[in-house]
Amino acid sequence: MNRSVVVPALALLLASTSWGCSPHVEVGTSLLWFAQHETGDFTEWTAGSKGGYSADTPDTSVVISTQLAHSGTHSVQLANAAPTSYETARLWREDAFPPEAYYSAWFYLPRVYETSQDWTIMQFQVPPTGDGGSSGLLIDVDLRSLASGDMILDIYDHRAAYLRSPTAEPALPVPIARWFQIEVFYRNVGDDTGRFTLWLDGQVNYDLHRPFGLSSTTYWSPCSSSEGLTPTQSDLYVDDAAVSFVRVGPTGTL
Amino acid sequence: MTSRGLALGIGLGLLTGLASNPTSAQEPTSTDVARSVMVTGDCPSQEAIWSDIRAIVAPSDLGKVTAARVEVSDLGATYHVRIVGDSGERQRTFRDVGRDCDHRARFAAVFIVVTLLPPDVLLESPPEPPPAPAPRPLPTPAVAVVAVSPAPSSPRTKRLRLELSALFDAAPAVAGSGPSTTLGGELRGLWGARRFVAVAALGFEPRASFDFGGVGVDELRVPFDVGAAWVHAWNRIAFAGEVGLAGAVVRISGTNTAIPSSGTRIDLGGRLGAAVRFGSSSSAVAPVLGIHALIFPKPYQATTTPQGDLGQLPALWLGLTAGVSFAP
Repeated sequence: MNRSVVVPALALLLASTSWGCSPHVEVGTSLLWFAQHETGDFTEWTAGSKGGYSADTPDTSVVISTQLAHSGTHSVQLANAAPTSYETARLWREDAFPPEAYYSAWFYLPRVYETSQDWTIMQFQVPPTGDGGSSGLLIDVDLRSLASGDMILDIYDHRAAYLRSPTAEPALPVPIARWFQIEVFYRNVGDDTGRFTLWLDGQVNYDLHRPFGLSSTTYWSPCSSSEGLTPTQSDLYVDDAAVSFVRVGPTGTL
Repeated sequence: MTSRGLALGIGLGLLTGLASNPTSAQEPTSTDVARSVMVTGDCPSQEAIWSDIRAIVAPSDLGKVTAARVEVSDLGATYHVRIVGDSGERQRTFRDVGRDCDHRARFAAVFIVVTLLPPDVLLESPPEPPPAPAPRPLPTPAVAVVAVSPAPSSPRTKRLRLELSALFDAAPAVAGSGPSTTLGGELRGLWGARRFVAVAALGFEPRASFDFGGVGVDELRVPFDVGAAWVHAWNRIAFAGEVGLAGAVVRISGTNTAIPSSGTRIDLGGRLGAAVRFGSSSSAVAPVLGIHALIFPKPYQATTTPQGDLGQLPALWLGLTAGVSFAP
């Protein structure tokens, strides 16, 4: 065989030994937005002026933390020490998200707390209607203590027709001292096909069918809104938050 | 004078002279002819050659023809005449792309007669022949001797052949990859005139589609390969077994993800192939059919966010080619 064949063949062999650094080919994403906090700041939340973070004074704070992280090295610490009246530390995104979308975040509770009132850790709101009275509160996802000492999730719909949803049977205890994922499918339509389905670590915890569609804009907020916890000083960590067209699930990657 | 001119001149002289020379000598029997003039293929036929020899050689001299051994081979666009007589061996390869079998028979007959009948015999023909019927047209100038060699040889093969083919590839659903089929085309070049030749090819397949649990992925492929082929040719058919390194530049795209994206990679692996070409090795254009297998030991994973790995792109492609082979 002559050189005209040997040379290209050797070149190909050489190429084949050095190729293959990336055996994966990304063919698309179903993420509309996500935050992993590896930038060490809140720029993912504030991007496009469609979100932010806030903490009520004097007893709450929201900071980037390197003590714990679900992925990478950074997360957000929501600290709350409100003694007798609700105070809130929150992250939030507000956008004209699609009528059907998934909202997910990973949370970490370093220890068990005892609640005397609902401890809201996720909120769905609609923008104020401008009629002078509406706060825009829609759905709260709350932590609540059981007599057994376990903590479970509750759903509270601020509309008078719905209010608190029955506790899921069997109740799913929230993991302590390990990361857990809360993911919600929110179909924001004004008829009976409206839906609010919540998974805890991939397991359906609540599946509510009711109209929504109060606004095409959705305000979504992982938060720590509480009062009178025992112990009073609480820490809640948040990481790997996303809004997506498909379920992220416990095994999903951002 | 060239050999072709000499042949034509002598042939004409014989046509107008010896054919009409009456004689009482006994002609060779058909058995003698069959034993002496052996024809492979059907263009020209033995009957036509012998008829033309009889037309230009006096019956008394026909025995000199059958005393020799004549082999005529139809090689497609050429034909080969080999004569083994008392004075040695002579052979010619004549080109006739148009395959005019009558012309071939006449030209072979003239060559045989010129070779076996010495000039002095020819000179004995009457100087003033009676009018004869108009001679049949002789081979046109388009017919040319393309090879003259005293030593036995096979017809010369073009060093470079190109094959332009339609390409069909199918990926079976194995090893976690999705099944798919794709159509395209390829240009393949074979370089060399011996049993082993170098092979290189470049193709294009615009779309292979995969479905990974509802997520659609399209692949645009530019396959290529370099290698060697073992070629064996018979009269009207040639077989090539090929082995080589194969690759493909692939552009992989999501089709129904919320926000599609694409990536370009190179698949590297090996190729095994076999092809059959119809027609003689010197045919200007000939149909060709082939089969092949492409093996890529490190196939790529299609991924999307947040689902992660969707599935593996094919490690094995099985394909067919159909096209034309030509010697530029």
